[in-house]
Amino acid sequence: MTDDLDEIPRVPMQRTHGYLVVSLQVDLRDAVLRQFQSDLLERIRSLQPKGIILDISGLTLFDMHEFAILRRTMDMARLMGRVTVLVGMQPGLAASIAELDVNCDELLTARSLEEAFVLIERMAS
Amino acid sequence: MSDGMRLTTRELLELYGLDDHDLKRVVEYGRIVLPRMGEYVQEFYSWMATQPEFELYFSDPDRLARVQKLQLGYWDEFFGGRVDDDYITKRREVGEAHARIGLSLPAYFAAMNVSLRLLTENLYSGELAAGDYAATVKAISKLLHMDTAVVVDTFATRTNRIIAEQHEALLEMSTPVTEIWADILMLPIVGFVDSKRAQDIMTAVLSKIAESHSRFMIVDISGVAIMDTAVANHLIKITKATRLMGCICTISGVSPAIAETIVSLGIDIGNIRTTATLKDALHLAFAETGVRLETVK
Repeated sequence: MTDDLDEIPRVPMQRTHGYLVVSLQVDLRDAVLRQFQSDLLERIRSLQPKGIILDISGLTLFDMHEFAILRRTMDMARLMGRVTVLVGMQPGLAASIAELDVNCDELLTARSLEEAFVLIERMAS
Repeated sequence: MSDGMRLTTRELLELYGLDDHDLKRVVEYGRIVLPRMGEYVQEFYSWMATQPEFELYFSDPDRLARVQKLQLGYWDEFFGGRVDDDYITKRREVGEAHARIGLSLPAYFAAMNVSLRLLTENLYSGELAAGDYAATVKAISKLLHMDTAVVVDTFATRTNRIIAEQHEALLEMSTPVTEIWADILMLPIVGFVDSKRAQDIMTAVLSKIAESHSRFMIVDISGVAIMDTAVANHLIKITKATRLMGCICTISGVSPAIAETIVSLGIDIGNIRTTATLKDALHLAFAETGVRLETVK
């Protein structure tokens, strides 16, 4: 990657009711994901959210490599004491991840933001 | 064998080693037996009457008479000695007819074998010299075997076609995902699960979840015919994908046999929730959605 740091699109994140809501709506590139990873961890430190919600309803494509990066980011967040919930996965994406030989048992998923809030509360208590 | 791979008349004749001398012998023998075909019909049907199929097909006297007439026509052609495309086409029609009424191949073979014996032994009273007789019987056998092969080929083609059609029909009605309660979807899986069907099921399930936003999915496998590693893996993939969409998936209808198979094959089903019956799965889903059922008098 020869891109300048400034040219890498930033993933929008906002704080709602003490949760960090991340909107992953563009199809992801390696550099975007890496930038997102450091941004997210920095936000966790500064904002101290109860949990993280990844809204991926806009994603239609994902390869094993990108999925692995995202999984690692979620693992890092967990090390910082925050659970991450995936929200709004599209059927095509779900089918292709299921075809990959990766363990998804630990992944937290929800259909809506409300459900994700409830899930995070339950995990935290 | 598909229509495209069928042998031509000439290839068939070569395959069965039939030459003009053979056909001439068949024609000559026909002059001896054709006048006595009444006897053949009588003996053939007294044999048929001992067969289990007889009652099934020939309880109607009109039908019996019609079949007997067709049969006489068949032997007329046989001893006519003209084996051309027309002849082969008629043999194929015979195969079609037998397949259509569902006559079994062993019954057909037995009938042809009896016919061969009747024609070459019972109807023969020493008209030919010994050497000629042997050569003639050989020629007749060759032609009869060729006939039988053509009939059997047609029979098999037809049967395969029926199987293919049924397979198609089964696939089309194989993925009825239904919303059985608010927030609860159900999919009964019946029959065989191959990778094509697993793909169909996955697509149907996921798009239904996306459309209905249901929270629970129950996959009932009590009707699954065979459980093996491949089928289990397909089911695991389906539950994995539903969970990724935020839907909680339960596999119900795990019979003792299926449970035994899964454990003895060492299949790791991870933390997929399974229940013995659909009822159990429904109760679980009700408990989690906060639905309580009461009997009202």
